[in-house]
Amino acid sequence: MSLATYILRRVLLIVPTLFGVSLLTFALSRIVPGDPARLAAGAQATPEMYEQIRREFGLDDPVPVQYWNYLSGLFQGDWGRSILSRRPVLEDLAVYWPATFELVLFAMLIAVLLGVPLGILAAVRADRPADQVSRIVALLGVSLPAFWLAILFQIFFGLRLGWLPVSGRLASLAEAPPTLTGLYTVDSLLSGQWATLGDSVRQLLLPAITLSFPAMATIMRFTRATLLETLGQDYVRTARAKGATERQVVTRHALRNALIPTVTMVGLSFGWAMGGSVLVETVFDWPGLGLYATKSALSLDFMPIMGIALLYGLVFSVINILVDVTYGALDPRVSRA
Amino acid sequence: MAFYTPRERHIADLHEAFRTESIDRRTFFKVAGAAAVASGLSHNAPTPTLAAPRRGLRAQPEANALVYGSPQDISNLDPHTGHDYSIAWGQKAVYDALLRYEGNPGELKPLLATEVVGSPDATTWTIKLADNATFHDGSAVTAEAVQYNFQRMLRKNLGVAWMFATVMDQDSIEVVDPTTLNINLLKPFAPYDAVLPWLFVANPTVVQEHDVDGDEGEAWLKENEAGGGPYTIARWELGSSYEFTRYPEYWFDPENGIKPIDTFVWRIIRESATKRIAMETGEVQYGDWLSPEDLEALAATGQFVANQTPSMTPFAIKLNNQVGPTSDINVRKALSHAFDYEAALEAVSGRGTIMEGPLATGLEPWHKKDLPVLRHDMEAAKAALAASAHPDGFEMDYVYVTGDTTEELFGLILLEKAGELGITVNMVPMVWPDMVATAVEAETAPDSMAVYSGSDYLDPDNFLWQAYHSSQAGFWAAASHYMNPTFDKLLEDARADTNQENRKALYDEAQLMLVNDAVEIWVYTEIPNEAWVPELTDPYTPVMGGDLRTFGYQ
Amino acid sequence: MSAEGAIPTLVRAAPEVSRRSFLGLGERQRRALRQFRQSPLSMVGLAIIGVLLAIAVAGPFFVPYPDDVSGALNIKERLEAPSAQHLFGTDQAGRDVFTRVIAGARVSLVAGLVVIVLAFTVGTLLGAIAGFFGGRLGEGIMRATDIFLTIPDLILAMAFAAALGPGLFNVMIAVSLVWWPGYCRLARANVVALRDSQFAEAAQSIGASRGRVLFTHILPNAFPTILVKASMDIGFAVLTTAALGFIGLGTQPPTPDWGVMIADGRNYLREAWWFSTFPGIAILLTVLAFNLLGDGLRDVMDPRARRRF
Repeated sequence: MSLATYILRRVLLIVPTLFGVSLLTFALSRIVPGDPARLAAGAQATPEMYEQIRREFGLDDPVPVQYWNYLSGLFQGDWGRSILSRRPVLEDLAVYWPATFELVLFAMLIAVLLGVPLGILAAVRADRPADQVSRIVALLGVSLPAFWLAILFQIFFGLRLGWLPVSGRLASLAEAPPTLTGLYTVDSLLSGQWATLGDSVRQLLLPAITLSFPAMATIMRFTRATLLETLGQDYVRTARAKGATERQVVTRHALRNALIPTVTMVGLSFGWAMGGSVLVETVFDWPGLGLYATKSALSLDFMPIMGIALLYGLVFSVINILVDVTYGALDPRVSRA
Repeated sequence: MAFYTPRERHIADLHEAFRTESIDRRTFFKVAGAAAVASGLSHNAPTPTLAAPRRGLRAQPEANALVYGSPQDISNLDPHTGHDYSIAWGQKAVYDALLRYEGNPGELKPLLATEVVGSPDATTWTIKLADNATFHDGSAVTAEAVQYNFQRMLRKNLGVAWMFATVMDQDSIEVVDPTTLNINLLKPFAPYDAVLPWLFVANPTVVQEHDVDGDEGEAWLKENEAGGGPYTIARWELGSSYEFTRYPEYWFDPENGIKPIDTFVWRIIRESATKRIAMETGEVQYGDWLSPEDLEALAATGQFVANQTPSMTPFAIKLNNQVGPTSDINVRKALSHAFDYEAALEAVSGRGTIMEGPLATGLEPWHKKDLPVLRHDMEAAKAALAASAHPDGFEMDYVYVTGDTTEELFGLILLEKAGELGITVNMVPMVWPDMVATAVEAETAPDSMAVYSGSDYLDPDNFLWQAYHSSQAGFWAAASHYMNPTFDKLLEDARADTNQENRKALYDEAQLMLVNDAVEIWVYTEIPNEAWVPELTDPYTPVMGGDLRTFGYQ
Repeated sequence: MSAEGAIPTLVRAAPEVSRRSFLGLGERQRRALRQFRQSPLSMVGLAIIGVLLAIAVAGPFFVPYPDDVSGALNIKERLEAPSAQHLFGTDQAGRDVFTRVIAGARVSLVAGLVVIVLAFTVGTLLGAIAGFFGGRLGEGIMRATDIFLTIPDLILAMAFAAALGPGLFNVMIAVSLVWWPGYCRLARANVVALRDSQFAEAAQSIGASRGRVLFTHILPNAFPTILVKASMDIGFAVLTTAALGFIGLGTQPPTPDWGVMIADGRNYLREAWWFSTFPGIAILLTVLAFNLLGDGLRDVMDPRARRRF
């Protein structure tokens, strides 16, 4: 099988998965006892106003017809409309997704930049106090309720130290960058708006650090484990026997191989961080998909939920393929063959 | 819990793939990186019009800018289909309505209309328009434009339409001359002038320009304006912040000597704790929905003024008057006596006024004094329950919005006190759409349900009609399903009479009737937990949504 | 954060094959137990869990203000700082936080356990079927897990919980619905590894039925790694129900729930830090304890994975 065929097969496999996702979320939206139409019709809606909404959103059709309409709409770029905001779901996703993507990307950047070196440190000092401390810190990282940590961060960094803003993507009166990618940091960089760039990075820091915590802990412990494993391998022992210093052994021989499985872990953490963003976005008012999902779920507005699930399904499937392919590209056992 | 890659299945294929095809690794990473960036989906939201470069606010408000922090989104700026508290702030900024409310308690003042006169039978209304009013494109606001807006609002039949739709149709609006309209109502409606601040007037030309498939600009107007109000939109960051700048050629002068704010930013900040930090660090000058503790702490610093004006918004525990134990008047009396009103007030740190009957005590002159309201009195509660069909108690649900800690506390107070009578209260948190849905039928409407009603126009008709007229039964504000033809008649008569004395007498009787029937547990009207910087003149209004024409920096 | 946070995804090492059921104590098991005892952190985890369980069972009978659990209020004493009377202070309704944290242990642990038991049972059963019988059914089951696993768990759980309506029972159902695929995959991977092993073939050759082979020979051997995951996940289940409580989909009051307490108390963090801090610590300890336990169990049950974490 060629690489192209492999990737193509994986990409094609996304289709049935997404079909399943749409079926699952659609089924979910039909078990809802509440009535979003009545809410959308407004506080004092007359019965006619209410009926009008039901017709408008096709809620009067039989359920299979509704699903068929939804499905055929998907292929024509019509992902349905939010019954509350009355905006097309696809438009909302286009606005909210870049915010979440930017946040998760930064969080992963922090997680990798801190997690990998600390993991190496822990491996080199295995079973010594530094390692035990890192173990505890890692466990704290995955055990702390993110929303609680977020509030503590806000009080400490936002208020006591006054270093970082606590809410939103940009300061209230900062200049917005032009919309190119939707990532404010990238857009302001590309258009040379340095003040805006600085501002958007400052706004990003607290939510990204909060979100990075569990991922960082996981990556750190994973790096440590794989490095320890490689340090026990024959070829590393050989290098030692040949008189290489411990430093040389770690950096030249073991590290590269040890980091390969970490790529997998980073990909997985990316997925977790997308889920975790729900809580972080709530506390830091980050206008992303997580908040959009929360708001929609609490209003039983299921068209957005279905769209969000599809988008996440797509993104996650793509990340999976990227991770697997990267893994293959890096793994010497594969490329050497 | 999260994701496993379907790796067991794919990894073998992958190795195979790499074996058969060598790949230049460097090229591969370039591609992978580009794909990752590309998946950041560029979006086609309108590029915001950029003002001159500015640095972010940090320590103090920039000259004449006001940043307002609120948990609520301005979800739909359309002048006719959008209608809630935050939307109203935005609508009032970019649109002019026929009339406006000013001061406290709100007083009707001219805006686009200089004069509104109703016939004595409250069915024909003549509206005179200002002759110098203009839209943002410089064109005049004509009677025809107003007619179009009335008709669009009625056609859309959403948002504010409920205030008009029962008394008007497409043919009710008659253009007399470019500055005069006659409105011929289908039924008499005495407080008609009081609802006119809710007819926002958009520029028909601009609306038609943005018509897509006959939607009369609905999609476009959600986040764009076609108005003539004091502000235009400078930036629209969906779900995050909305910036309005002063329209320099605004035609109207409220003649209150206040220098209007130049830049108004609506910023969405959900958590009270976050908002408080943003206020303390000078990023926000006006915050709403603060927790009482945060509000007190902010006021204590002297850097913020806490709002002291009560709203007109009643909070009541609606009792199902038709089905279940609460259909028994003695049960309702027992519950009304059992509820501890003082404790409820204390639970909101005293920020409110205990209600005496169905209308806010501050709704002058309509609120009837000396109503025989039922107060916390366990002996009386026991006596009432003993006289009911359920002397040994029963089980009932208390339905409230999930996550609303205040409504939860009120429920717990009911639970504790009713428990002493042998009544078991089940706390049932629900998401709001579920509550709205269960309230529809008397059979499914909860035994008790926590409801904050809205205040759209400062007339007893607003509060009494929406909550107790039998035609409204089933809408969430009328979750108690009160059915009383004599009462209905009183409200209808009051709608048909423009004489305030007569109306007052009718509403007095109506209030007495509701209290005697112990329709629901009227708890309190809140003093909204808002705070602003002391440099600001008092911005608070009991009508839904603030009006930037009425306040500014001193 | 997700349950897999602390467990490697790839089941690299299939558990060592043993004919003995994992509950019987052979020489290897005794050695394992010794090993477990020698790991101080694992013992700490076990000790904390022991205390938590004791509190969950007996706690409600010994709390200083038992009425505060069942709906008594004392609004006049709201948000009082920790003192001799109120060890952890009082909450927004004047209730004793210490009492409610103790009483909340039962709710939280039950929630965590129920979620894991449901997800474990359903997931392991389906995974075993998929792995052992394979075929279309197996493929179908695994495609279903793909679907669940491509949507972030919290978002899916939130959608389920909102659709079912708030309340602890619905939250538990929602989280289990979202978590079973994790167990399904793990169980399938283990069963596949064991299915073709010699002893399974041997059992079949002496005439054992396929079902019998699966349930008496393969599943018991597949259990250890799944149990390791389950033991860690209990803590994460507590954390996830707390997160849903934070969003507004938690327990029905007045029943105390740590997640809801943190959520209620978060806006008082600066005036009344005790209100959300003590339930926060309780959750932290619970998650930590189950993680440490899981760590220790893995070292014991899955020796090849030792030193990984």
